[in-house]
Amino acid sequence: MAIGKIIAKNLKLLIRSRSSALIVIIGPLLVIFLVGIAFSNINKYSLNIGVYSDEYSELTESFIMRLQEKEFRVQKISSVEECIQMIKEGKLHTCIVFPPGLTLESDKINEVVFHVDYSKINLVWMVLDTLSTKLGERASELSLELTTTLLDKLELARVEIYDRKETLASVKTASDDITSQFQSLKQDVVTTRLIDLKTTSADLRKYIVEKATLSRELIDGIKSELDELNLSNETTHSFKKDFSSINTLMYNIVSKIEDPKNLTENDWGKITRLIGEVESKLTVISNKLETAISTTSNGLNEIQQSMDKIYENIEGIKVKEATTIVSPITTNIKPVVPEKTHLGYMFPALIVLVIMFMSVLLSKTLIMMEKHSPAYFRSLLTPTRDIVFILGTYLTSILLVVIQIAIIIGISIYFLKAQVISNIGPIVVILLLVTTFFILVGMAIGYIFKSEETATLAAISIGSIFLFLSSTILPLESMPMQIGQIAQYNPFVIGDALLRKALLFNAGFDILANQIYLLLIYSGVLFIVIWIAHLVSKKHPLEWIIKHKK
Amino acid sequence: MSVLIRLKSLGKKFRKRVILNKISLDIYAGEIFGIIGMSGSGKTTFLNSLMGYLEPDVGDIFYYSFTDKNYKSIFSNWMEVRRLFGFATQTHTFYPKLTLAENLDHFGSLYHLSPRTRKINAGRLLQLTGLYHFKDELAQNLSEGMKKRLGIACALIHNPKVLLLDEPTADLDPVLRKEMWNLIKGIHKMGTTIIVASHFLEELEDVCDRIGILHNAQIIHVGTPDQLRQAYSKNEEVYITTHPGRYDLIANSLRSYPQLPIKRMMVKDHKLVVHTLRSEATLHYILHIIERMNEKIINMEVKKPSLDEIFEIISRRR
Repeated sequence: MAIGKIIAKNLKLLIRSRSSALIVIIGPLLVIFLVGIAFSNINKYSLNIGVYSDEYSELTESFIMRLQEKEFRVQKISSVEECIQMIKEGKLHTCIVFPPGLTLESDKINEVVFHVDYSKINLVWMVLDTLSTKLGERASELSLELTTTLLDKLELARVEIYDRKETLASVKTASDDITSQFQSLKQDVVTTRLIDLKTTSADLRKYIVEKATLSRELIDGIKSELDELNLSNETTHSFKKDFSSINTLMYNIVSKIEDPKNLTENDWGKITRLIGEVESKLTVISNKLETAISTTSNGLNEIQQSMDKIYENIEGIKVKEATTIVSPITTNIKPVVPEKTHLGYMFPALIVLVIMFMSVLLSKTLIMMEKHSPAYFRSLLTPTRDIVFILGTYLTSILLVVIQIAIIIGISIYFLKAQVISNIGPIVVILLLVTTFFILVGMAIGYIFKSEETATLAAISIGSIFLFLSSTILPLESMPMQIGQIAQYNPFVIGDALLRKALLFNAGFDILANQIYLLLIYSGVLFIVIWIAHLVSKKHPLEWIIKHKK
Repeated sequence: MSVLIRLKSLGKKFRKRVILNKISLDIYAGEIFGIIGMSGSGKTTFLNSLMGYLEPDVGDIFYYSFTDKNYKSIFSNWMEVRRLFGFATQTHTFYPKLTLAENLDHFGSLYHLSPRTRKINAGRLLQLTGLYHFKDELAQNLSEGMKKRLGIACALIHNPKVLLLDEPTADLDPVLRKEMWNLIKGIHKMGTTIIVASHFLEELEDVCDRIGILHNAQIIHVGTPDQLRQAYSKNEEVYITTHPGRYDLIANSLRSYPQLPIKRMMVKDHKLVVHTLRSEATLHYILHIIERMNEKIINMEVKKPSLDEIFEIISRRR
């Protein structure tokens, strides 16, 4: 088969040309080796940080210490201006200015200022993000301490209220008892018994003495209970004074009743009058006491209601953990795929990048080698069809690139633990399609451009355009909308997206179909371009022959 | 001899410059046909048109198809033409990084020859060109003469009926030139029709059956070398080498005989060259003068006019 011989010839020419062999075989291995070393880690970044404060407080030092605990190189700078200048000179990545005497006690706003170099656009967000996280951790700790103290105080109040609720209830019960006893006294002694005393004469005396004595005891009891009512001193004193006078009157009554000589009709009249006075005084006292107890009871009720409300409110606080209050919504970022090294995440883009430059440069080199070869003219004079030459170059390129991809993926699987085998079918198809597209790009460049130098420049330029209009350097979302939308159709972006879906998310052909069709269409268009360019380039050998005639 | 290739009013322009102007010519099977012309006269364009690689602006080229037994246009039957023709260009048209055997094998495969045929043909051609012992050498390591021979071998790998040679002896020393012409004669003996363009006219006249003179975009004359001489010059050239070689005195003495039809005299390569219409009479007087001057004759020969002279005459006339 002529095509087999063309491939064999291409391979021999490549291998026997030392520079080509170096670029084609060693180049990709070197790329993957260097990239592997550079990205195969999960460490954060070694940043040089300058800090400045007019007055370093204990809190500021704690922030600095937290930064130093990580791999950040922190140095104190003598002024803000110097710190900013050092950023401009590239000696520092960022400068953090802490407010003087930073504390959490005052009411002032503690603002920590970051100075960063926005011209290093891909670094600045990383710096801000990393440092904000570190400082944020310390700020959260401080906030946690403050909140914990606040909650502790609140808990103490809750317990105290809960304990006092029983005391309050007992006081209220005591008050109710007094009211009840007093009503009983009033009803039993004053209203009923004293009236009976007026009408009964013989047995009444003994009975009166008994009841008077009982009344005195009850009055003493009431007096002692008065202390437990939280009445004002003045009221208590007034009550005690009134009860004492009643007690004295009762004593006089008993004394008079127990001495028969004293009991004349006149005396009975006096007794009856005294009883009437006692009755009236008791009524007055009773009314006063009722009013006082009622007032006290109402107050106690209000206090009890208020305390119940406070207790219920405190009890109603569902979140009592300080951590939860400080960070009511905690963020826990979980990757959709198991955590990988930087290389793991970059692997699809990296593979497409290597394929792109390898394929474009290799196929371009093969075409240029053939076009500039003195044998090209002889090949065109043979009865071999043009398509065979085009296919021969394509197959040679894809053979070499596939070998290199296999080596790269083999290394990646063994050393970098890349997950390839689990979805090998779609991955192989994608790799072949992406490789085909970029080989055709290189071939088109090779056919279109005449000189080796121009073709190399064009290959690198086109590769760079594909690279810049992808998310590898800057996210497409950060580009102007129209450019971003156009870039969505960038074959590099499509290849990257396809490989990402297949590698990281194990996507099948049903999900990948649309983008695969798009790559196929691109390749078809490129093939037509190559065909036309090949037909045009067939004129060149004659020009070359005439030019090189001696 | 039967006509193998027939050119009919072939015309070709590059931009506004006319390279070939209505050329009509027959080339016969089995002959060695030489094309001579000044540099830039269109010899290479002529050969490329013969190969069917350059389509003419006007006219056509026909070849005799051994399969169809009739004449067919070269430009509409390029597949057959490429099998029928072989072309060895002035520049080396092989891969320098492949060995001789690999080059021959590769080009053989492009002619869709079977591996066995490729091997047989390559061995035969390497023997014919004297390169067999170098078959495993990279082509880039060969000497200039060997490279020329390899170019011819590559052009012959598919056993073409017609071999086109463009300046096959350019850049070769005299020894290698002689070897190259011997090789061409050897190929011709195998039955191959050879069309050769060269500016070594003396060499062409020894090898070619017929010669065409390409001048001002036209073939101004076609014929055997003798026909060309007769058509353009009656002169003969007498070459005399003597000792001590006082050629100026000899020439002056000859001028004293106005009856002699001497056209011109010159000293060339330590020889006195006398162009005359009557070589016998001129020789008689020369011998007499030499004897009188006591010169010793080293060598003496009479030649018909060379193609160089013919070409010079034609160029001057036009």
